[in-house]
Amino acid sequence: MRSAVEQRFSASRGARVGLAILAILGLLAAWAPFLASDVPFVLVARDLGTLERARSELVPLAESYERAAREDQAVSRLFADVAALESRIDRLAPAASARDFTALRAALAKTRESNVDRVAVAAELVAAARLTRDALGPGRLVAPRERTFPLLTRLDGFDVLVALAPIGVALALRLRRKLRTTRAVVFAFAPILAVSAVVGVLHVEPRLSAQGSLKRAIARVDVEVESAVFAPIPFGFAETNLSESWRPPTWLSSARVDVDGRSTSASRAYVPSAGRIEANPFEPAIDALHRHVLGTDALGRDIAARVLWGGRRSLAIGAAAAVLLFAIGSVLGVAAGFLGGFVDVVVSRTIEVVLCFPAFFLVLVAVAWTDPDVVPMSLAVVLVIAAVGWTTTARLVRAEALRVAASGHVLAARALGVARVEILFRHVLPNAVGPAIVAFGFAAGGAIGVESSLAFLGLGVDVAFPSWGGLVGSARGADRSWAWIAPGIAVFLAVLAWVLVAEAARAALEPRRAIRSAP
Amino acid sequence: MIPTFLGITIVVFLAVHAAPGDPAAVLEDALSGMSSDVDLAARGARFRAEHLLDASLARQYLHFLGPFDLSPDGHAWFGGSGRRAWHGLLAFDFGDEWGRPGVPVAREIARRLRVTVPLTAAALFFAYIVAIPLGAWSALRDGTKRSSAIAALLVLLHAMPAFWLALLLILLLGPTGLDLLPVFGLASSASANASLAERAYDVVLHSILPIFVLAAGSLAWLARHVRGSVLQELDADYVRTARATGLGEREVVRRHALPNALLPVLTLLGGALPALVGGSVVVESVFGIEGLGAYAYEGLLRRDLNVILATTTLSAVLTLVGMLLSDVAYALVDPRIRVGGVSA
Repeated sequence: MRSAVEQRFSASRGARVGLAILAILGLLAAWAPFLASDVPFVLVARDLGTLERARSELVPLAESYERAAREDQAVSRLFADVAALESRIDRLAPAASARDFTALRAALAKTRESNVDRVAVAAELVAAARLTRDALGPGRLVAPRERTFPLLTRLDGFDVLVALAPIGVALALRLRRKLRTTRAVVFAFAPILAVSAVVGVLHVEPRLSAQGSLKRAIARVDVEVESAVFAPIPFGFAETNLSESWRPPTWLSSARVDVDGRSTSASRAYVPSAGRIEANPFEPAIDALHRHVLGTDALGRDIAARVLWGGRRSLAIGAAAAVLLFAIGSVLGVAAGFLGGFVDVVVSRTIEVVLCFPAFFLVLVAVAWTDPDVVPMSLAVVLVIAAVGWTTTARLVRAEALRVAASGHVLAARALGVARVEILFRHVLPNAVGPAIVAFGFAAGGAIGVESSLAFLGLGVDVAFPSWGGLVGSARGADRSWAWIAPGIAVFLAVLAWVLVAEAARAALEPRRAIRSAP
Repeated sequence: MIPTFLGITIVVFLAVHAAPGDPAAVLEDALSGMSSDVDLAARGARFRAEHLLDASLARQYLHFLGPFDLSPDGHAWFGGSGRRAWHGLLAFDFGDEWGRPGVPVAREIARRLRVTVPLTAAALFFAYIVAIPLGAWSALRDGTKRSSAIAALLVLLHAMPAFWLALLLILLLGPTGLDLLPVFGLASSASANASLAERAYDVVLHSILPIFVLAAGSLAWLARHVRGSVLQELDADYVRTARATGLGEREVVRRHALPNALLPVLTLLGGALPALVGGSVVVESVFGIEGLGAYAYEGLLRRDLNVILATTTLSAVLTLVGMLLSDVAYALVDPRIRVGGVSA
């Protein structure tokens, strides 16, 4: 059943536009790893290097066994060398035929027999190892094709949760047509949480993007890459390329370079800081128009990738801060309105004091003093924004609670002898927070604004991850406007979307005005 | 008023001290980079004692509030040597800057208030003078295309992050764009020996962009409230009565609806002021203006406790004074308030 308010809300154009923008930004942020990454989705490669190393290690291992046998060392030490040798053979086996190893394996078997002359066996082993090494010489080893999924195996539990969350939201909305809201949310998110928890426990691989170039590491001389499928933007958010700093969007004439990556003779052409741009493997050509759609920053990092990844932080902090401050404000507001007396005096006075503050000052002070080793910066920002911003919600909820407390159903509950706490949480709270939902939208937008302003000033940011405000702050300056215009637009759109949603909610809750202002 | 003031001081004090991270430790880190031969531990201990960082929170708070100086050199009543008797907020003495001994924070603040207060007042004035006609007009023409266009514009302005708007305006109007307005500081260096009129004109030119950026967010917010307020009054019974008596629509609006609609807008000052003062941090640091907000930011970057405590408290007190003024003004224009007694 959809209430009248809900119908008015979903019919309004502002709500639709706002929700659409939020959905798009949220999807881009949640799926950023699949849209911009320096780690390939699929990598099909022949790893000759590992084979080559295993082959060259055969003789030294055999010789170390021989040395140990001659010096009559402990048995455990002897067998350690044999085991190492065996593992090299196992690694080489798929790349060669079984015949190549018959002599070596026979010699190995002899080392395990008791009552043999160890030194003689060892000499035999070394000879067999030499024979095998030379037999497997250049051209004889054929590395097997290996198909790996580096991007997927690098996702940790949190990444998986974030990536699946949009699906969960869509599912919950669909289920809500048949079930109650809480139940729909539980049904939709329980499997997602379970999967993320499992991945979180099993996850061992390193983080998703690193400084320097992973692509260059993949494309070693001795690895033969048959195919690699990269994200549409094949750059990581932390992947640096110092030869390409502050390059404008590559489709602009001011970013043009020649095929070699050197500056062209045109007057407004880009001048690479190191004289010549070096592209990493698997990237668009240096002079391709779509190489860096939004340009690069001081360290040559792709701004499009950083904007996509920055959304994860900004949107999450906005939503988390809004949820927290809404919870604080609702509880305090409803307690003040319903319980009255001393509680009301304390809460109301506190609201009065906090309202006096230029909230931004307070946030600034608290965040600047936070030790990132004690509290992670993004968490600190959320906590501080919530601690400063709860007053608006509290005032709205308090007023509503006063109204609800005087209504018939509360009186009836009281007459039935229901405990005050139960009345508070079951009868007053649900009815009092409805109208304050407007404050939630404004708070979420405001929190994104505050977080971005903080990051713009260089406070409250995690060094490892980009944030929209930080991107603007580190690039400000008229001569490289491309680097701050796009992240600024992102902040603007996110705040705008929340404001539109909040305005639509307000209009839906005030039918009189909604009717008047209907087109 | 007084409880609120005390509340402000307590909140500021706690915000600085409750945050994880020890101010003295941060400062010692900075000091250790400066000199190598001095015994750091002894220096740190002396620094802590001098600034009362080892004392109980209550003592530190009373020291901060004033008017007595509670440090070892402080007032004789509290076990000090009596060299510096007065200190703290009530004595308008916040000690010296940590980073620059011999520079009193209070003097620096007094200098910077002379920049921030006029700037904030001008931004507030600008916001009101644009928001009231805009909001009222869009309410009177409610339902028309132009009215919705203005509403949309206001939402866009409201959502625009101040730092980004500032950068955009600098890009478009500054030397890189149309070169219409100066974008840095409040006066050009060449104007030092110009005539008074020229200097004034220079300052006005310099302050146009900062004032606009400061006002932009509040402007949108105020205009929306004016619009809502006017819409509400237009629906009221007395307006219908006035119309029924045959009064022309212009008269109805001018004599009945507007005055009643604009009164509550006055109280919105209390909401707009904190946002303006908070916004000054970003705006002043983007435009290179030496005001209170920029000072607070510098203090934060240097982790200078004295500067931070002073600027944060003063910004809140400034807001409190502004709210008080708006309450007084409201009581003056609305007789109903006076009957009920003076509001807090």
